[in-house]
Amino acid sequence: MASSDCDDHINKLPDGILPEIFSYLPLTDRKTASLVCRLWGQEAFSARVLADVEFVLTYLNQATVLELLRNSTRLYRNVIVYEMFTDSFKLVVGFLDKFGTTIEGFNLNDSEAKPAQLKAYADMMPNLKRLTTFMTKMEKIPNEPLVFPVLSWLHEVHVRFWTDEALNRYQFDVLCMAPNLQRLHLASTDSNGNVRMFEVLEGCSNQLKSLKLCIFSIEYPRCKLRFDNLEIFKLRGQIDDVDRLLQLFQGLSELKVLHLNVMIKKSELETICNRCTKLEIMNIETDMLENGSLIYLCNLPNLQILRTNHLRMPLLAPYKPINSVKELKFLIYESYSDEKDYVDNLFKVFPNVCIMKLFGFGPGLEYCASIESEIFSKFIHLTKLTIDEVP
Amino acid sequence: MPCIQLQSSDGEIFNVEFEIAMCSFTIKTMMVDLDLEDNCEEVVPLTNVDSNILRKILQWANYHKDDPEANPEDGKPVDRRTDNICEWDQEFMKVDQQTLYGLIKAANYLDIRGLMALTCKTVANMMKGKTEEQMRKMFNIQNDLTPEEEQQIRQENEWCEEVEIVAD
Repeated sequence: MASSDCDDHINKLPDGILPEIFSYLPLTDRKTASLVCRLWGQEAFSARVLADVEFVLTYLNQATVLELLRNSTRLYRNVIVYEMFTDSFKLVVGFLDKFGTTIEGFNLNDSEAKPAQLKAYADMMPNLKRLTTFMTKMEKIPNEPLVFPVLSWLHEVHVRFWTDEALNRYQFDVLCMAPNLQRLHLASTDSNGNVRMFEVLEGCSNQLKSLKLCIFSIEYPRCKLRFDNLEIFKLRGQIDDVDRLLQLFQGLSELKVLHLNVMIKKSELETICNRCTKLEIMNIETDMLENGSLIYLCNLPNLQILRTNHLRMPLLAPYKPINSVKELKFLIYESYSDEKDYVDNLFKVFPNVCIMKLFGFGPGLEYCASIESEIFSKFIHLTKLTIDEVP
Repeated sequence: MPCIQLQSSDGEIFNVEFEIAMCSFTIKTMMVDLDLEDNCEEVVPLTNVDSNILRKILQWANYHKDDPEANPEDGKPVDRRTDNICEWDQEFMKVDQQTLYGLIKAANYLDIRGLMALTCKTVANMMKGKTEEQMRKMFNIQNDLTPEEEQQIRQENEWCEEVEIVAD
């Protein structure tokens, strides 16, 4: 009698249990498990376990991949496309021909997509949930709109583009394609305006839960945008006056997570802290915070995690405690006067910190080491302190 | 404390506190369907669970009776870590494979989510970091893959990567 005939053998467990077990394994172990026997070969990459696995499609594996996939029994749910050339359109279509209906995550990464190509891909993925693409502009914007399919599951879209016209709805109608959009990421490198970007935002702002914008210029639209449901907002790029952007962006009262990677003035931070009182996580990655800016954070009763670049002594003044902050992460590039003084003042502002992460560089790294024991003795709630070199 | 009576497949009857028995969604549903909620006299037969396994499960359920109930519909991703098993559970899981599979089958049949996660994590931990030959030995499995099938799996695995989840 073969071993697996016994009733108490792992391969005799009821249906659905092996995939449940494999779902607790990291991919490396799942790959090993898939080589154990035929049953494991199927179950280690069964439909539900494939949720966090993506197939890597590159031009380099073009020759072998289609043959390989022809014999595949796996129903891939995510695909990432690398290093595509103009003639690799066929490869992607070939892949989607077999797996398109199960694909939920489609990531074109750094491969630029022509609008007509993206439309062809979208047509083959009726169950798409997440799309990441790099859009180009058509040589001539068509007179008739390019009709994208309506993908009702599509709720997350990331678009990178060189020129604002890439979002012209006659060539790429993202809102028509994703009527249930909730998470939007628009990254533009165009310094000549954002008219199309704001057109897109106008059409969906109030349904968004998460918005990431990377912008290098702002051409302000006439209308105002409402964000009553936005929970996550990340902004980066070069914007001269965040203040005008804040006037344009109405709502924001539900915001829980805010990342700012732009220059921000004291008055702008004040506006944010007055309007977004539900903030829980704040990431201010600007080197030039004005002295006294931190005082506004005291208005945020739910702010638990704060990450910022520098916390120089003058920035900490007037040492008003931000009691809510439990986790603090910041950079130290230089050494600040007296160690004890610095830690004392830091503690005055952040008395309830439990987790502290310091990133040092050059003399700052030595300084981190020199204040380590001081921090431990001063911060009474501290449970974890890490010091790393700036990556 | 109100009790109900559970009968194992080998006929043993267990008097179980109502609250503890409710960790099983299957029993919960049965109680509602059979309208037993106010009737403690009735015996609930569990035809798929023997007394050894049932005893262990009740021991586990008793220890965890005050755990907060996990709601799978609250939108949070399911915890996939396996290094966060508490000490009591680790000790509880020191059983032979036969008992382990018995517990998995019973947890599955009785729909006890916490125990299902614990037992599956335990098996996953037995697989982690091993080679395919070590896995076969550990679970007493014969390799029935043809060289062609193995080649297909190996090549396909090469092009699979973990989806990078960007945290908010």
